[in-house]
Amino acid sequence: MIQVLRKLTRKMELYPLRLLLERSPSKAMIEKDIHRWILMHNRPMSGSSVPEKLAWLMYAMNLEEFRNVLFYRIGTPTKFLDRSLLSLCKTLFPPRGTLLLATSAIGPGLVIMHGFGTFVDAEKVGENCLIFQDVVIGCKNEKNDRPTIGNYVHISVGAKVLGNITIGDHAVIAANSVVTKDMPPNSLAVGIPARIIRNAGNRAEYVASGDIPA
Amino acid sequence: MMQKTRMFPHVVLYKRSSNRDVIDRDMNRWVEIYRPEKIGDSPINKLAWLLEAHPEFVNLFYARIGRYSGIVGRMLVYLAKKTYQPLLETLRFAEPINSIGPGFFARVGFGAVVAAEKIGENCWINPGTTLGYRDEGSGLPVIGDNVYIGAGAKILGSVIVGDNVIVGANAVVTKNVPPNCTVAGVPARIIRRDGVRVKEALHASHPPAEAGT
Repeated sequence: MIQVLRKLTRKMELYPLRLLLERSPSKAMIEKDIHRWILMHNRPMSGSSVPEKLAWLMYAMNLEEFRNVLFYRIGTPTKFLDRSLLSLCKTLFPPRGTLLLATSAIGPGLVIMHGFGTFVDAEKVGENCLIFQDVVIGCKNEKNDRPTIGNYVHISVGAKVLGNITIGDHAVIAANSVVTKDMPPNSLAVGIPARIIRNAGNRAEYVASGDIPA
Repeated sequence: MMQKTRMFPHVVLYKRSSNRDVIDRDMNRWVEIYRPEKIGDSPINKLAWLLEAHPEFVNLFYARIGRYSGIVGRMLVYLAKKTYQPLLETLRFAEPINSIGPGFFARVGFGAVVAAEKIGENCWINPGTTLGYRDEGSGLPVIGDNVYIGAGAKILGSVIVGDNVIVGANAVVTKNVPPNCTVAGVPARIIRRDGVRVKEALHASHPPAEAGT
């Protein structure tokens, strides 16, 4: 009896969010995000529908940082109904306070792990990137120069990516490294200041692409 | 209109504050850095914009206001904190706040702890910065004027950091830093001195007399 009631309340709680996602113009992007979050949390739910996946991420995993990404994708809607739905959702599902996505262009499939103290202030972030906690992507030395980040980039814990640089596709930035120079595709950056290892190759591709083997 | 009623206690606290000129210089620096559009010159307009747009400024503002002993002041602070919630958990200022010089700027203020003996004018900190104790019995750092502290940098123990120093991202500084230098790495090394690229280690005996204040 109690379980039935709990299921019912959860459905009701999730209803405004689902409605908001249905009405949002970036619906396709959000679905890609959801798909990749499910993959990265090692739970291929290939048969299930999008609302089921959303419910799993919201309740079974209870990921606050996922809410941040959702609200970022929705942005600030213009219609009154959307605005009120969004504020309702934000009270029902408060996002993580210490995760700020200040970039205007982030490609689909962005995954953020934990997201404590993460600040993403890039010029552009490509598709399917993976960003961990304590990462700062932003300006260098009081200037207004921001990095551009390619597709399938993996930025590990505590790494800092600063200045007007370009990070190539499939690059991997190791934990606590400081990157202030361009990185070619398929490279690996380690240390302070980062040493860049070219053609780190297949291994890097495997880590960042998120194709989790069965 | 709504915002004006919301920030009424803040305006009163700002006008009554003994730190008013310091708050003025803080606000000028923040506005200069972010360059918002359509902001009037009056300090009240600047205060309104900063309170609305930057929660980390709200933290700094409450720290600058300090504690009141009288009943009216305490009620005003209580009201103010009810209307604009600060990021209490992620940006900490140690007391007394007067150790922090005017023109202090914190970008975003995630996971930043500011506990220093003294900080000069126009300091800039980034997310993940820690200024504080190294171990039990050690002192706190003394920071000079115009110091830029990069994201994730740590300055620990009773060290003296000179004027116009840039501390690189993720650096760990546990020794004195001479003025006009750029330091980076773990442990921190001097990578630039007076604009010229160098490679020097930091020594505990680096001249503290000319550094700092």
